[in-house]
Amino acid sequence: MDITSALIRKLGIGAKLDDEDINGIRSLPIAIKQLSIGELIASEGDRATNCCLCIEGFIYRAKNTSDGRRQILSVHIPGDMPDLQSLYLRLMDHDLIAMTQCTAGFIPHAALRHLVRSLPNVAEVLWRDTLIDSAIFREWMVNLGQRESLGRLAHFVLEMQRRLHAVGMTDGDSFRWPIVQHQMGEALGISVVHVNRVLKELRERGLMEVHGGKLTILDQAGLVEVGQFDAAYLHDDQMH
Amino acid sequence: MARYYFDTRDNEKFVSDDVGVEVDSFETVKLMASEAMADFAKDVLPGSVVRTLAIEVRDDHCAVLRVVLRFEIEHVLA
Repeated sequence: MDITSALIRKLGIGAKLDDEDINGIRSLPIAIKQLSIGELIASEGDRATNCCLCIEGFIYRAKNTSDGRRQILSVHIPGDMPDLQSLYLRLMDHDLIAMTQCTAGFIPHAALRHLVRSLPNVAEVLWRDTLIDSAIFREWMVNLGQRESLGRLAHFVLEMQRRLHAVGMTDGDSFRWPIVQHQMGEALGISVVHVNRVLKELRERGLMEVHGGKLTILDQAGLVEVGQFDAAYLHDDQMH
Repeated sequence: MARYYFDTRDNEKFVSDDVGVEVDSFETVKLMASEAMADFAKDVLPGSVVRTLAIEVRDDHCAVLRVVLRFEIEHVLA
């Protein structure tokens, strides 16, 4: 598989990329690295000089409080460039960490800057991508602030399903779920013990189950109702 | 590190924890049970009148801790 294929597929969902744009993305100088679980890709306070493209595996963004608590800010999948904003905001204001074993590509800022200056279409789709990234953050704010735990976890799962589906990474109602209970807790602002209880309740209600690193949705409509999930904020369903 | 199981009780409804969590110290177990109780209460108390919540922690051998929260709304006549 081409290392940029998930990225091109994702960027092409809401915007038209012509051959020149696709060739421009494909010819970026990308340094491939294999990352191990938990490997720190960038730390808060770093000055970034390249952007990370997730090619294989899961990556997350997180921020620690001074008393040692951690908030997972977002979870990234193949095709995502979780630190794209570092092209213009070089100081990392959060950590970027490999959630699983990963294949990641590192693209020098200079090459990306040259690309967006020479191909305005690419600049627009990358801008659009960062706008969707912030739409996801708004949705997470609503989710963390306003939903009870059951709906909060359901919403998170449905978002991941939808995003994984967009890059061809779901298998029917199942998809890879490497996010362990304490990480779900850190993403959703609930304790690991409560995550465990909520997962059990979702399973007992026949809505979804997690088993062996895989999540299976058993009742899509029921889960959507519990999570009050409306995918409009992902802006992935039509060409604009 | 030992594995602890956090069973919960909501009035009479008992939910056992069949997964458990590895925890480094008993102090951490108490903190985790307290945090779990706070999450549990936030989810289920709104709309309740009388409710008793409990988190019962056991290790691989026996029960080791019980955290109980009793909630009650009383009408006070002026």
